[in-house]
Amino acid sequence: MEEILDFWGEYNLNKSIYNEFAEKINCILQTDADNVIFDFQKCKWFHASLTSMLGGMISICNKHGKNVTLNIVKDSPVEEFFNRAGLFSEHFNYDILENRNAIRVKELDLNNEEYINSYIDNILKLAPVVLTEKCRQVIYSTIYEIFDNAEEHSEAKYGIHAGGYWFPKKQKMSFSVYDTGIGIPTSIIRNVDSKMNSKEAFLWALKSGNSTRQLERGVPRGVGLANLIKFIDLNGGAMTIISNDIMYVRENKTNRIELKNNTLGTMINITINADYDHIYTYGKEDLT
Amino acid sequence: MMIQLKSFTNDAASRTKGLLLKTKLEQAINEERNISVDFDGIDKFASPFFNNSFSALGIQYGFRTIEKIELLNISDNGKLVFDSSIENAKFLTDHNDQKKEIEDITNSALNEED
Repeated sequence: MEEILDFWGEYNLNKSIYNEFAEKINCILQTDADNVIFDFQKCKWFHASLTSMLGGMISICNKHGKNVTLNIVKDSPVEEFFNRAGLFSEHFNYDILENRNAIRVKELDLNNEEYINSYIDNILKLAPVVLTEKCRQVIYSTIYEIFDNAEEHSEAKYGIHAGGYWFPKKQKMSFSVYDTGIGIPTSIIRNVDSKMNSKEAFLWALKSGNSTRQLERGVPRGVGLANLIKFIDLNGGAMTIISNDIMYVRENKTNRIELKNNTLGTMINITINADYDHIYTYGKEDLT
Repeated sequence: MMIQLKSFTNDAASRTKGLLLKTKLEQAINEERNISVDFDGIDKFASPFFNNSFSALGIQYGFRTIEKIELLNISDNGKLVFDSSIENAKFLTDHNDQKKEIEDITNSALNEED
């Protein structure tokens, strides 16, 4: 028995795509099929930051003992992109195709600190612009905070997946991490206040000082998401968090929060300006 | 007492390395020595490191004790991450909901000393 997941048209970072992904993840979790076909024949375009969720979907299939088949037009732009993005090498044993711009899709082992350092170093090495030392440090801290957040909320059954892209002409980087865990609202409602709804729970988690593991063994936490928002605001970038039934967007120093289809896990996507002016601004404004 | 971070870590990011520093700092605090921490050669910073070292000790021993520690050769970004971690920990000590938990932690630390 097989289950076909159709990917039609263009896959960008928007609510309708997140809803579709939520449905697809729920379908994978519920299906009895032993073969899941990811059909990209009618897919025209796929955003690099969605590769982390795609990696997560494939991982869920694998960990449920399901065979995964990709149906994709040979030599099409989408096939070429997936190959460059590392999807084939990570999940289908292809040889790694070197690419200067792709932050390859990976399932991450967040318990291995040396591995994480090396993974972030590789992201920084791919930068198409010469990053100042300060810029390197700021991006390193930002990515590390995303990983730390994934580790805190996730209890991920199917791994933590990352992927992204440097856009040389735009001097931007888009990067996402998808953990296949219980989700931020569920984690807060379960551990902090069972009377909260998902929106209240999510907003609680965004505040500095709030963490489900606050003061665990005397260690304060809860800086990560607040620092990320601060960085995104000063950088002029954007951050999207998809978690359970919440879609949260931070852009132009404003919050937009909407309800979407519910599913497991959390995806944090950041798009940052990696030119000298935007990165350098972060430190200067904050130090005055 | 001077603690050279580079002698035991290449980063100031992970909680494991933060805990290593915490042990060294705690020993120096208990010996009531003047403490300096040298970040020379460290260019990777993230909050778990500071949460598990300076901030955790700030909650335990008081932030005045922690603020006496001299930070040497720390980058601007490192200082930003340090400051946000300390601010967060201070916020927690003023947060009513968390006070009981903090008192429990402080009491258990004092009991351990006894």
